[in-house]
Amino acid sequence: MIKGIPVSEGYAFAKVLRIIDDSIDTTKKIVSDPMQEINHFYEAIDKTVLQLNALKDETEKKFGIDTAKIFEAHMMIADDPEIKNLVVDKIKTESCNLVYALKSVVDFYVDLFKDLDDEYLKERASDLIDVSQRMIKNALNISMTDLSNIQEQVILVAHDLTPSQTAQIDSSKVLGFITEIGGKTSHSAIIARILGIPAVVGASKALDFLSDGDEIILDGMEGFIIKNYPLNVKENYIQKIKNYELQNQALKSMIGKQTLSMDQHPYELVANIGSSRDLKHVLEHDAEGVGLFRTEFLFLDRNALPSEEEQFIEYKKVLEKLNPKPVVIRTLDIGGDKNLSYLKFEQELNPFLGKRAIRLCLDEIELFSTQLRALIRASAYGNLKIMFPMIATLEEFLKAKALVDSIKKEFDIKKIPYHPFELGIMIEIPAAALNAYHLAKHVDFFSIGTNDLIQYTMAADRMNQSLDYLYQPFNPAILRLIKMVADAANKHHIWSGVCGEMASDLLAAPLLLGLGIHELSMIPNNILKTRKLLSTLKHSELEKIALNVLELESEEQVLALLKQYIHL
Amino acid sequence: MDKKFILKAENGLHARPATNFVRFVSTLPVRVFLIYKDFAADAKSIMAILSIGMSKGSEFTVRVESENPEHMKLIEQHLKENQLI
Repeated sequence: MIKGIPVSEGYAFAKVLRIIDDSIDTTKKIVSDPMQEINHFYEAIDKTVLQLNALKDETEKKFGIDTAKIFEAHMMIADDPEIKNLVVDKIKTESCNLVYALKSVVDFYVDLFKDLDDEYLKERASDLIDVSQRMIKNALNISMTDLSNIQEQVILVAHDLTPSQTAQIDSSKVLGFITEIGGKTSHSAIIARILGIPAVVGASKALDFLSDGDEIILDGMEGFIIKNYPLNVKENYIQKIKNYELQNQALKSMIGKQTLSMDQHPYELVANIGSSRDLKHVLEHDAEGVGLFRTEFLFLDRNALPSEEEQFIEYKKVLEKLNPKPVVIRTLDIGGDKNLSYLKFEQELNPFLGKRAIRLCLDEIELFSTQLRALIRASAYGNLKIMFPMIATLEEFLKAKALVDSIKKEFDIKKIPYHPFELGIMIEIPAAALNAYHLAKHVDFFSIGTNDLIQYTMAADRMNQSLDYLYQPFNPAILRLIKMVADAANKHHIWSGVCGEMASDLLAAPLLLGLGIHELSMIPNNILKTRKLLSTLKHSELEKIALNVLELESEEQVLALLKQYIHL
Repeated sequence: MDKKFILKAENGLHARPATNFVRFVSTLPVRVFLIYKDFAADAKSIMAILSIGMSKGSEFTVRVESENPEHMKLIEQHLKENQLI
């Protein structure tokens, strides 16, 4: 048995199929006709670019445009003029074979990249290797390892799966995969989760440990890879798989149900999304709406501000699709560490305490009103709620609201249609939490951004690993702030939600609801699990626990108490 | 024609801005080089310009093989618009 890092849940029993790149002979050979070799090289480039283009389209269909972007970069590398020139020169001057020439040029670049100080650029070396192997195989007319043509059910084992390989995986044949390198965020791990097949990465020596045809168990929960297993281990796993499937079915049975505690107290479980592309996950996991639609992606990676029309189309798409379910759209949360190339940003010593989100928007009125106009127009197509991020004071909210009102007035005159919509704020700054009682008289809802609220309350940068110990979601100080916000909301009959990471945490979610929060916005994947868990808990008990927890001294004590009551 | 600049992009010259730059330069009918330290990189080659390893604050030279000042102007404009300089 060996162990790796489990990156995608599930179990698989199947035969091993190893993907080993046959060693290709790249030794130098003298050729009699270098011109012919050069022509072969150009043909290989054309073939490679065509293949990559097809892969790009296929990947875009299967996994979406973001995953497909990598192949655009690959196409540019394949067609790179400098590599072309160097290879052609080498073939001419040394009268050598093109495979050798290409390999030496690529090696030269790979070494250059590996020497760079920049982690990001170092990784580009692997793209170059992926592309060059494809070119070499095309030049030698060796067919690509074709993963789309596997006939029986297998578990793939490879040193690493390249983007071009993972794009071809058919999950009815490939029941899981194992790689020797990689981590939770590597490309192949992400694909495994999208496909819903178990995967274990970072299992070093897996290729030596396993042979083709070995019957193995792949445990995507714990990361175990087991071969030559005795009968009792097999039976044990059959039981585990049964339980896992039962659990999954039980989760599926939660689809279409209202979220209720055991004593029939209603809650609302909604999803966090980053663009209209995430809608399918929202629907698949039966979210009751969207609790946080981050709009930043509309503004990033481009050279100019998105137009009102462009934004309107995106907002409308989401609202229309989910109507009548609520969609909370957060206005632009940018500045500080995230800059836009087309906006002037002052250098700041302390970006997280700097001019970001609403602070920036209130100063860039044109940018802000363009977004608000698009939002208000879109309100005619669904159940819109507009949320302002990083509010510290009442004045900030009132300024934003005045802007909204003036746009509504203009629309009334011009007869541009819109529907009534709520205006709320994010609570991420301790000042806003402490002042929630007053803010609640003016806003329609609160949504607590716990990640920032924790970092600002503890005065500890989330990115600073040496301060990890201060990132304490369950610290009584944080819980007390959350309680103040929930109380203020309930007092003034508005709703309050949580849209930070805490809402996705199965231990924290029941506690938040016990504290008086009504809505939890989380990653879509967690909705059904949370709904199921809540159906086994009593709201009256959660309220008691929440009160008890506030009297404790430390995060450690809070966690201990919670674990007594909530069994995950 | 040579002109010196200082790279201002926060993360150095990464793939996305580099890709955009290569695309842009490829539309010009002249040869263009980025010169950094002792290396001259063909600005129409993504591999070449990534591999010279410029980072924020690097002083580099743009060399345009043309006497037409218009080309240098266009390049400078692109670099500015993309906040590379």
